[in-house]
Amino acid sequence: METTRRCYTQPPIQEAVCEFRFPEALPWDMATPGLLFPGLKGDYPVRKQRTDAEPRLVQNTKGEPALTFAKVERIAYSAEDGKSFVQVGPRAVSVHKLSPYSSWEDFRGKVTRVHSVLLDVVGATPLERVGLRYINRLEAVNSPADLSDFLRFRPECGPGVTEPMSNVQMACTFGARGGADSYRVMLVSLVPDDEQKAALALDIDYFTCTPGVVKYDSVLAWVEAAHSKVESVFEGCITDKLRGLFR
Amino acid sequence: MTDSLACAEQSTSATLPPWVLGLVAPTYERVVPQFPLDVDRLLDTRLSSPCTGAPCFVGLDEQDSAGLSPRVEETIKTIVALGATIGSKKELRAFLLANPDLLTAMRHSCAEAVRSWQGSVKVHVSLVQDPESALEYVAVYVRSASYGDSFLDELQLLSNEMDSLVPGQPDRFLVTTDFRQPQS
Repeated sequence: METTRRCYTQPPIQEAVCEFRFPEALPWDMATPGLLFPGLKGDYPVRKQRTDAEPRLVQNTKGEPALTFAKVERIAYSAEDGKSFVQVGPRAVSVHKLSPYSSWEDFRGKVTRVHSVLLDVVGATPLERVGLRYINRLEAVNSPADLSDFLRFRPECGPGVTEPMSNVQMACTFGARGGADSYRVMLVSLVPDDEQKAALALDIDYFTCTPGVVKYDSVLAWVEAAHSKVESVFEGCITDKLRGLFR
Repeated sequence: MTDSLACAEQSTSATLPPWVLGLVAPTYERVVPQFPLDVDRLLDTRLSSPCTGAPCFVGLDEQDSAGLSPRVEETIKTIVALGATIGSKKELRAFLLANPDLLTAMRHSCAEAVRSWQGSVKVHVSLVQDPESALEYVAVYVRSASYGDSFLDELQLLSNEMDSLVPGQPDRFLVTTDFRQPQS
């Protein structure tokens, strides 16, 4: 189905992400993030080390589940305003654009430049995984009960459920390109800024399923095609009433 | 003492009591009560669990492409589910997007407060700007109906524990109290 390209003056995009993951076989050490910086510092001059304590469930000596915190070190190279950044973790590099999102052309330019820097530093390595993710924050809906007015992607509960819906958590995964790629569409309730309204995340993540399925020299074409799909999925998920709020 | 700390949200570190500043070393052990089940569930079902394969929260799976905003939204959601109030959700969201190192400490300080005092406290999260340094930090205020010595001692221990979760930015995060009464 051909979808007309729409541009919104107030897009609901909270974050756009393009992520490249590299295979375990690729040499990658503590110096690798630093090697990327000379190529990135024009757009991302602020270097931040992000030390996160990520919770992990492990088994203790009695075989019981126990909560521990694993220290995860990541480097973020950020634009001055902090709204654009490149995150470098172990064998993973992701380009992020937080709201306000100006245009695909602008974001594609950022992805292209990071791709070029990666090519210089790590070479044309086959990629383990590529993903393009758009996270939309919708805070126009008055309540989850009004979902049908705003969203075509929503839970359908049937006539037996008459109570108002208070929380939504829904995810569907679809195959694409003959199973080479997949995309996941998620609808999740959020805490609203305005307590009179409901807030939802409409999160669309398009990604490769098979390691090496996209060659490094064709990644940008893949990203372009992935964006077209994400865009058409997004337009298919929303109604004209919601669309009107973004104009 | 109560008067000087009632407006701790606007105060500088110079007006904070010594136990907040770490000048008084605790000499006791905090007795950790049993886990209330709902707190366990709130924490555990939101963790990615590569060892056990336990269900992960939608949008936070390792299979998802990297995303910062889902982690921030999930942290805010967990804090609210624990019964905490937030000064300005919009400002807190923006602050956490800029300081994602604080997400784990935020979530766990609120959960530990509820767990430790068995629901007898209310937690309030607010952004505070130090008027002297202009540094903005996030304060987790634990409010109790009664502020005895044991409460303050336990709060100090909780604060020390959470500091270890923010090794990169200890000056951006504070677990304290403003000695206000918990509001329902």
